[in-house]
Amino acid sequence: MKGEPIVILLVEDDEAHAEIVRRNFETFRLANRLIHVTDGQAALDYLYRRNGYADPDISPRPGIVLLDLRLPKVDGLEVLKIIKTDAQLSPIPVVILTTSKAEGDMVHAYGHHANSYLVKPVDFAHFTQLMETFGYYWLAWNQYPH
Amino acid sequence: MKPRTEDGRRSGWGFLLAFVVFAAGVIASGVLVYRNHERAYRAEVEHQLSAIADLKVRELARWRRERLGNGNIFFRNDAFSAVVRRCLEAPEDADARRELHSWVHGILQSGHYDHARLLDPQGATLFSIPPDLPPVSDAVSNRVSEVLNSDLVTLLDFYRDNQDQRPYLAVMVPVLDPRPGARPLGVLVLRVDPEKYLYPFIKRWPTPRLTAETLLVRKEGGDVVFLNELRFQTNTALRLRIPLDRPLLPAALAALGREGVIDGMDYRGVLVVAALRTVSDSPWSLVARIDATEVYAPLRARLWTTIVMVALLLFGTGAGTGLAWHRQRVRFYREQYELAEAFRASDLRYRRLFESAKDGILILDAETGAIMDVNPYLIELLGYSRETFLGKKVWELGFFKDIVANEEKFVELQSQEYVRYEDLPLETADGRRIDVEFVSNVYLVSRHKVIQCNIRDITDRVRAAAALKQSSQELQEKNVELERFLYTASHDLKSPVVTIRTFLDYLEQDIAAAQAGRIEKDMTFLRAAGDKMARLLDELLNLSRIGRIVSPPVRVPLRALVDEALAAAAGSIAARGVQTKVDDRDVTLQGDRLRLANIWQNLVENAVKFMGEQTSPCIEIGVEPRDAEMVFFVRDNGIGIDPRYHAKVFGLFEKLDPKAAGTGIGLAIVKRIVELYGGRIWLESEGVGKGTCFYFTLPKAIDNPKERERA
Repeated sequence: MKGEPIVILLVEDDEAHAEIVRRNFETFRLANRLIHVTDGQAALDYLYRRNGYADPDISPRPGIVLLDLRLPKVDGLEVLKIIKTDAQLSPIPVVILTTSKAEGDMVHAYGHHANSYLVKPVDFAHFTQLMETFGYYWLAWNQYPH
Repeated sequence: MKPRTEDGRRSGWGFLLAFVVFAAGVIASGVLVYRNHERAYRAEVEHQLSAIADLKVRELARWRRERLGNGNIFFRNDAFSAVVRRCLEAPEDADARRELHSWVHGILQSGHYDHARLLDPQGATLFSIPPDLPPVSDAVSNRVSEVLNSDLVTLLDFYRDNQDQRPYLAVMVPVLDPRPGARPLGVLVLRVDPEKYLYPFIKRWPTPRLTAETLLVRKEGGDVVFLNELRFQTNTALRLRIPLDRPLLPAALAALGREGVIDGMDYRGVLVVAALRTVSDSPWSLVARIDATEVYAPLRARLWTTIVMVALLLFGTGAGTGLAWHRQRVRFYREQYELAEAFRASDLRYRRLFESAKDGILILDAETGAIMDVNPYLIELLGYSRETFLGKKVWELGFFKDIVANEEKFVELQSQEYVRYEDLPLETADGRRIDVEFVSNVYLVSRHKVIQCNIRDITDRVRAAAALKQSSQELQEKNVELERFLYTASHDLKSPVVTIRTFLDYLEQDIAAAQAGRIEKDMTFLRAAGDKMARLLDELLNLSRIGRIVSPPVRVPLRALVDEALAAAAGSIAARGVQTKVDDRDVTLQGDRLRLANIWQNLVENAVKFMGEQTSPCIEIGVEPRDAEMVFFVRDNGIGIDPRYHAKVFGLFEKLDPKAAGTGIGLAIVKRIVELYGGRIWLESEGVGKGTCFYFTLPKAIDNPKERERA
């Protein structure tokens, strides 16, 4: 946990859900590391530093991507596929965070090398717990190469 | 059929040959039997004639001996001589005369003699019984001295008497004086009348015969002299003379000493069968003969009988053979007829099959590829005349180019024996394209190879299969869509639930912490989630109703629908200051009015919503004919859509801009309605900021006056 803190890229079209994630991260004092985009195209633009995301200081490379599946413009699975087939981007862990429990979605996600698949819990306590666990696991325990 | 004809002809000749052989056999046996019979009969006749001739000759010889024997009674009889001498010496001696009379009288009683007389050596009659006879015949008196000199009893042969001119014979006995040196006393003459015994005897025949006759003849110089009265000619005895050299005359041959049975020609010039004999110790010859006509009469009858029988037999056999042959011919022709009839019936059956088949049939000459026959169905199917086909080579028919394009292809048919093409296109005379199944078979028809091609119109089948395929594909698409719908519905409905429950807890915490700013924010999220959920449910319901609840179709002008849509969106149009242009081209649609209006309403709302920063926003609504269909369009000069997302926009709950109002269901609804009317929807946009144009077709809603009339 030395040097730059890990930047988290949240790709989420639902404003309310993004707010939930932000509030949880605030609780764990991680909110300053959260970057939020609302569609798949914007996520890709960010990752490839295009269209206003060119400045590495303003748009640092994320250490982890929290990706919803149903997204406007470019679908979440498509974004995942692009990240995981790009040699530069593929090391970035991609954690799917979605409302879908559909088997097909999970199969597709893991098929495209998603690093984890999380289903949004429908009640507050579980959502908070999930976010807390996520924080510990991916941001505290998980080791990343430099 | 050919061998049968030969059989028939051969059996005809067979019958004729059998008949000829049989007839020859019958005639030959007839001739043989007749010849045998003739020979036997001839032998019998000869035997009979010979027997009669022998009998008569023996009797005649016996008779002559008897006569000589009669004479010998008096020859060298001293007692008789003494009596004669006494009579000569004493002519008045009555005793002597009486005694002489008694001697001679006894002989005369035998019945062969008619009188007796005693002649002196000079030939004068000395004594006679009966007395007072006319002078002795010269033939007798001339022989007296000869008889006396011979000193033998002589039988004087037939001679004619001077007095009555009748034939007689005579036994002459020299009467000598026993005393030595004495002169002969005279000659005793016993005259034989042949009428008494000899002639009747000769004439007699042991069996009743019409032409049988016995002739007694003797040779006299160069002639044959007939000695008896003949059956067919009178006054012949000693009168009829015929030269000995007359050929085949049985009497002449007999007189010349010939014996046996001969065929000859008698004194009348008639053909006879004769037995010839000579009588021993005499100048006589005997002929026993019967006319050939009488001899052969029974034979001729027999011949006729045989001929008639043979003829009858031949006729019967001929008739039988003819009848058999005729029946055989009749049977043969009946069989031929039945065969031909059966063949005709079979031919007719197959012709009917050929003509009424609901498959096209083409018969090709397998060697040349020329079309020999084509059935009416194929003519009707393709619309070309019969003449178009007949005699042509199959690859010369242009419309067969996909089946038998050239001669090489034909050779392939020829060599493969069986070819089947499942689905080939054929073009008919009127330019229609039909799909056919093609099967060709090679087989032999009376040593001639033909190819039968069956061409089955499978257009309907192919169409049905295509339709089935399409509908199954559509069904599959619908299934996928339904799955997607369920998935998106559940996902998108879940999102506000997550929001509501989480923010309710936040709200609770924030109320407890009395953080007024946070409470306000929580409430906003909660309200938005609630609204979103209500809208989602509304529109889902709306979507599910499309095609399920249908109002009765009505005719409605496009203009009215567009006006309704513009009126519904009038608020936002006015707020954004959008200009609208409508060109309806007087098109009238037919269908569910509310649903149809929904299309334009959604598209107009969509256009207004994504006008972006456009300073002179404008929406064009219209319709234009394109490739024989009416294409409707709604064009704006708004933000446009990146070509990458053109397909995605019609998906359920798809939103390109997460911040935009709405649920992302509008275009999905439009697509649903368009598809309901058999149409399709697409959009053209050169990209962001270049405006968007939605195009769609509604084939089933087009109010076609012609269609209506037909219905």
